Amino acid sequence: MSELFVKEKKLGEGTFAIVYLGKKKQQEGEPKDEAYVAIKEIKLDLMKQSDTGDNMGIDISAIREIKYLQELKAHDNIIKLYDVYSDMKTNSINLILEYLPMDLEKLIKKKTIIFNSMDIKLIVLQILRGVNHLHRLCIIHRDLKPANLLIGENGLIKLADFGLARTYDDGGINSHSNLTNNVVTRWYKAPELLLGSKNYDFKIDIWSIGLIIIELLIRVPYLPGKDDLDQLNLIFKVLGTPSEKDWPQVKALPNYNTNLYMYPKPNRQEWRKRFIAISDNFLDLLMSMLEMNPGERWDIVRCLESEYIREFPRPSDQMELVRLMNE
Amino acid sequence: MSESVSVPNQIDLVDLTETKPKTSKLYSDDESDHESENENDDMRDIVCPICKTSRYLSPDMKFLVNPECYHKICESCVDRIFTLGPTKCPYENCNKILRKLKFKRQIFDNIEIEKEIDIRNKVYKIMNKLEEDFETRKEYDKFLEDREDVIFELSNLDSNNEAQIENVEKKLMKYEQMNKRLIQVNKMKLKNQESKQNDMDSVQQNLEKERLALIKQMEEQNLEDNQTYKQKIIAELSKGTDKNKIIANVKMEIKLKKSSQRRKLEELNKVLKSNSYSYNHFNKFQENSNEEFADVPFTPFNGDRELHRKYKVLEDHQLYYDPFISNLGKVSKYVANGFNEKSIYDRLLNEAFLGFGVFIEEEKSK
Amino acid sequence: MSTTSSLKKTDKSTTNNALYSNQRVTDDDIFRNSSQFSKWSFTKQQLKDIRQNLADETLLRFQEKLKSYLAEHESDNFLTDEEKEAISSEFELGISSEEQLQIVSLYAQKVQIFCTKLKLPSEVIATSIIFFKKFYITNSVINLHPKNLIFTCIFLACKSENHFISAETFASKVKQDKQSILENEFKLLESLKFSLMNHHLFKPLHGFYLDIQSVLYGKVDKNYLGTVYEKSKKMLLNSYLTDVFYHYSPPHITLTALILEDEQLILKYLELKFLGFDPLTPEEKLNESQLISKKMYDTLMKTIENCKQDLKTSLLPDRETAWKIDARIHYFLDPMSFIKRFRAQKESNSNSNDASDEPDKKKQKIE
Repeated sequence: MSELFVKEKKLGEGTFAIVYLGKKKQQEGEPKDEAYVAIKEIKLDLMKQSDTGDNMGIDISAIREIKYLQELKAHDNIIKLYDVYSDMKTNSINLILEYLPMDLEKLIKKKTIIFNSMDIKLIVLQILRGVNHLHRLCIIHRDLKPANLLIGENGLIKLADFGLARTYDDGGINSHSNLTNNVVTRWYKAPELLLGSKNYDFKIDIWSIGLIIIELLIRVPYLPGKDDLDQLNLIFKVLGTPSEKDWPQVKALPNYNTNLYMYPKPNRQEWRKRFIAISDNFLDLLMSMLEMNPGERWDIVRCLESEYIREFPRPSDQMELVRLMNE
Repeated sequence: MSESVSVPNQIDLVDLTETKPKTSKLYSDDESDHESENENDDMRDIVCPICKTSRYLSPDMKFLVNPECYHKICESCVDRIFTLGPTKCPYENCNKILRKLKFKRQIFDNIEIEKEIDIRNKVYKIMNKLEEDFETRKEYDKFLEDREDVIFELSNLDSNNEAQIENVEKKLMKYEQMNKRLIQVNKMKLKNQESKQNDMDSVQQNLEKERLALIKQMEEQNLEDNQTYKQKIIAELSKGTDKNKIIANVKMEIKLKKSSQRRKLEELNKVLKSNSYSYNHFNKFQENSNEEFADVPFTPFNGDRELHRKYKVLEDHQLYYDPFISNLGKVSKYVANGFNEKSIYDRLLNEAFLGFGVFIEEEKSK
Repeated sequence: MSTTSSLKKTDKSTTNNALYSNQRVTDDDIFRNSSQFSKWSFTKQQLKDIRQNLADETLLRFQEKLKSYLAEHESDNFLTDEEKEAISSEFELGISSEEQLQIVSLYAQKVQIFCTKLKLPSEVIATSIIFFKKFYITNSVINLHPKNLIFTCIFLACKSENHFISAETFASKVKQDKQSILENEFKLLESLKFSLMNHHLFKPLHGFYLDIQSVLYGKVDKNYLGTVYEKSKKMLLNSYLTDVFYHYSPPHITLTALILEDEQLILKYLELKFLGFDPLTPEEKLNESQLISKKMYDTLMKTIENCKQDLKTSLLPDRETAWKIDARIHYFLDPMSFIKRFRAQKESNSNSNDASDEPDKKKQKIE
């Protein structure tokens, strides 16, 4: 199988994988396929030489990535896994993925690019749709951030990196297992995670999207904490310290400290002042995504049903992103 | 509430991030900024170059410009000099004949932008074809591009190069003559649209806000760019590279950058216009903005949800007898996570009917 | 590899209209898009063919092995004609597709037993069994003896279902060598066609438990329904030892288990839910929408009826058959052992001792 693809150049190297730019090899009697693919090579013997000596076999994030991408081939806003093959020669698993040269982080950082409200909506809509599909399949991504939102040459935004994803198990009905709270890159971590919750759900993804959208608007990370403690403090400072009144049982969470400084919760006017040029409905969406109490925070269906998505102007054409990218 | 407790605003966050979010202006700016544009003028601008009156002494003083030369003159000087009829601009070496009627309040600090906006309006009045005048989107795009080129050329004219000016003006005139009828028709159309636009809904107000912010942002960017480009040219020149080539390169760079910003502005303008139209003609707008997909309406989910569920979750979920789940709803760590019995029931029922209509033996034998 | 050839085409088709494609994706489509349906669901004939292919390959390997073994002893007169004949007729049996299925089911049951001992959650148990059974759809038991795959399956299932156990802990818990658990993991993953997700039956069961309550509100005793639920759950756990997983969607299997528990109750539920009229009403008395419902209902009933049979059919071999198959796997790996046993048996027969067919040593091994 391995001879079906040619690795052309190394694109990057992660903890358990190397990503190459590749192409399909021309087969006899077949037209040449010029489309690029990304080949994620997961080395197996690398893992066998783990320094901790605690050998886990095939890396858990590789397993998650394979497991979930296999089920997510039908959605435009999720990176496509074309194929998986094993290479006995190099003792590796190769994931043949869609080649997506751009990501949202790079796009946001390119300050010469200007987004108007229609471009913003185009991006927001696509992120929401991708996450909706995940959540519909009972999958929590657990690591949403601009760098994991890739952009294809056709302007489609695609959720990528499922190394932390997992299936939601309905409050542990069947497995009774606690989830690890050591997920999500810090700046996009929901307060319940920072407070040490081990029974969180889909809402942690919503929180991350809320912060990604704000980053899209202000072009810098909104809540860039220095460490987890600082992150929590920053969240409270900007969005108010939660009390039992607006977040029942918050005190039951392991890291909740009763000596917390009680920052006031910003009211609508305050939010308005922070984001002056967005519509009321957009503001509603943002406020609801960044609702501290996960029970009150909107779920993905509610987000997509928000008036902001329906109101005018419509999102710009996806080719607009292509134009922006190429500027 | 003591001061130290106050909710941090944008400025606090800027401190935290230690990077100044320049482009953040578009969304996080304070409204008052727009009105205070002229307060930031430096000393030089506060004195009228003709009568030397200082704004410091007469705070009501307003500056006007004339699109012929864009020289800044205070209101009372304009009154004094031009009331009796057209006459030469009082600036030294400026031989333009100015009319009082054409004087207008300067909106932008940067005269270059002021000039460009005026040129833009002028060109728009002539090259006013609408999207519906074109067969394909591509042709329309080409037209928009051409129009941008004309605007760019006009606004970057060397004022001393008469031949060049004439050349561009001629082009525009030629276009005007060739499209006389269409221009008239579209003028009417645009006028109609504009009148409808008077009752702007909130969406438009937002867009308007955005547009203003964008213009302001462009202006700031422009000033900054001019500085950097100057430095760039100087730096390159000191390396001894070919002068003309450098300037051409830098110009190209400016053009590219500007055109992208302009395009954003253009889009906003377009939507602003089409919006009031759409407000009353909901479906028409959809056809207009997405002609290729006219038969497929815009839906947020794009089809990705079940419309005909095979189950209903009981409104009163307490009617379900499920000791396990209702107990979970009493555990504080679950409550803290917003544990919602109803949504759990929904998920479980959904699982029960997932693939209910899939008969493997039948479907797989196809 | 069919997916990659259409790689460019799909890219293009999504270029312009992805935002407005508006293709309806129903819950049934969600299941159709799953790897469980696209890669691991078969008609009975398809599965039979796949298994037969494997059995044919296995037989070929037996024949080759026999040939080379006989060639080895061609000149040394080690084997008598009688022995040659005996080993030939044994090796000509190969491992039939039924035998492979039987022995794999037997060891799948051992997977279940070990999982239960380890107190693993139902979904992990189910996944372990599925992994195990799927592996032997494309791999013959003579390639890797089932007993050597049990722990690899459980280990991978734990990881895949997010039930985290480190290899060290796991190996010490099951008293196995860590390396032997890990060495087949890659091969297992490959044999699973790199698809690890399974739509299990326990959540659907829970869902039906709730839906029956709401459809038959006030007509069913809560405690009684609770016992039906518990019993069905046990049946569903055992259903993984049968082939139903390949041939029926999770709701169909779940409903079948419920019907086997209390047919009257479940039929009443289904009638009320999907028909709203007596299923015995003659067709000419039904209106159009009723006819459609009736047709769907009949298909469902037919499917459930088939599934019932499959659920009840045990694939487990009796002890003697199991021993025979296991022995033949052993003979394949070591033809000499067959000859040894043949000679020993002959000797004991000539001593006119009525010795059992099964040496005690082997017996212990299987149990």
